Amino acid sequence: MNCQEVRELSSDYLDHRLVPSEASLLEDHLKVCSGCREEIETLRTTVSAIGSLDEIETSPDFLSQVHRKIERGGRVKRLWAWLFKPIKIKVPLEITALFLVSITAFYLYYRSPELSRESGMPAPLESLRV
Amino acid sequence: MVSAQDPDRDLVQRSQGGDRLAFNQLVLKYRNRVMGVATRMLGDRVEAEDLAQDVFVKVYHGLQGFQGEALFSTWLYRVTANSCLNRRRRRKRESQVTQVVDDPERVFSDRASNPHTLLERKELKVFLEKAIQALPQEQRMVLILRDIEGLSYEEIADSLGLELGTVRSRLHRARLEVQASVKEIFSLDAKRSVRP
Repeated sequence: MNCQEVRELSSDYLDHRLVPSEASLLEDHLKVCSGCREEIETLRTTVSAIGSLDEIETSPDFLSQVHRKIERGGRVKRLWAWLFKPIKIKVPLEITALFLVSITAFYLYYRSPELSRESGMPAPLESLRV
Repeated sequence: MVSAQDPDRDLVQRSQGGDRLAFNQLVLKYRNRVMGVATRMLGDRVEAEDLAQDVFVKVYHGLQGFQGEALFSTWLYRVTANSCLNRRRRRKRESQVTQVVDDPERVFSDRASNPHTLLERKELKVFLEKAIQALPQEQRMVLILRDIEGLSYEEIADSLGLELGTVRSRLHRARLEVQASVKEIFSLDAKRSVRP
């Protein structure tokens, strides 16, 4: 085994993932190559140092925040379900209702001079009168 | 059906049955681990905590669909990893770490030469954290899961949806990157230890 191969296999070696024959070849190389020995030890120290990094803690109110989000999401879901489910029934009904309300509002606006005066614009039908 | 080998089997099944206390115990058990992954992936503690909360909300809603095809912890890490990667993609701007340490000499402000003492120094830990932050996200995630969270290669592959070979190569490259960064620190430390 040469130095390049040792370098490629160094992580596997440290994680005990080499088959015994490969591990043996690598160790035979380490016995005669101080450069690779140093590389392996530095990598071992690096991995150990990474593993010793501090645990990062959440805030003390983390659990209550999670439940707050669950509850908030639950309210949104219930509102959504109330508005739109079952989809095949409620959505067509709501579209129809919206259409009817729009038509009614349009009709009332164009038929009513009082509403037009309040809006500051002449009623479209009045504006056509000579 | 949750696997009998899953150490969280009891808590998961009780949570699936609506036991809020069981779900709370799962949150308390894993919250810091999720927080650790999120913080090191996002580089921002506030955002990481928000993401960690979202992870457990997803877990809460997804528990009914969890069939035990993997360990609960593996599934949790999968949700965490996907959430982190999605959040990073949505960000308009990513925080960049362009310079890991201004002056490595500063790390050796005292005469201690014992590498183990060195490792305990807060400055070195900050340095390591920054070196990890500087990794590409694919390598960073694998390194965090393996060397900090202690997952096996197989669990990482399962969590991230990767081939074992990909896990292996990303981990190796990540370790070499971090090693290159710390090598200078260790060599400076060695030189100081032999000074008369």
